[in-house]
Amino acid sequence: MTEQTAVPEGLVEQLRRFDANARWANLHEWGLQRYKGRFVAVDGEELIGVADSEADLRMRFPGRPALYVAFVSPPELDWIL
Amino acid sequence: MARLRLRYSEVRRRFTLTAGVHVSALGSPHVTAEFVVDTGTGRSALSHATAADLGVDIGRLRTVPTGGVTAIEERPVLPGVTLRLVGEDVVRVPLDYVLVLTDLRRKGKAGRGGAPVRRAAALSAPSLFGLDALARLRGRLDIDMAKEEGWIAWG
Repeated sequence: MTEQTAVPEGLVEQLRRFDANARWANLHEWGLQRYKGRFVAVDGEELIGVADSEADLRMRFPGRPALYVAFVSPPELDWIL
Repeated sequence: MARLRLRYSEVRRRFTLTAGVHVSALGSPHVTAEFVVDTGTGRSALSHATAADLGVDIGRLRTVPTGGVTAIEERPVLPGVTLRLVGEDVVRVPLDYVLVLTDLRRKGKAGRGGAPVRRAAALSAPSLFGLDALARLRGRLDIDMAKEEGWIAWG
């Protein structure tokens, strides 16, 4: 299943950039607590937007395939799946 | 053996990974999404938002009974999904089908989450990387909670 050649052009770079944005958000998750209960948008490994809904951010920043949008969860909120 | 380093959130206390998602039958673009690594999930799942980004008409999907933490519900299933993970190399993970999860709903009165969570008008359910995907990958999951590190390895 491992691929070396059949990967669509640009996809690996897109995945790596998205991953870098998500890692940036993780690294700064305590600092982002000032926005808890809201959504943040990260691209280029920096915070570029804050809004009350994910849809707002996606409308504000269209055409960015590596855009990482996350809900800033309050630390006192437990999550189970 | 290739490896992919998982992300760990201290706040959410969960491991996540990045994957490209593609449904060849739809001819849709590859969508990049975050997946929660969930060893309690036997069937991987896409968030409603990711499915919509793929161009899926969710209302037309067939549904199957699905057991969750507190209920058994009918959930849409999307066949023919391929994930791509990027670690030290790129791996393709074809899945027979995945579930599609609807957005989260609040039930009852605000608890400890309180006002900040009430403000979140539409909170997407996460996409889930379950044991079916790990099995298809013939992969290994290593988690070191002392270091708050995790890896998926394959090959």
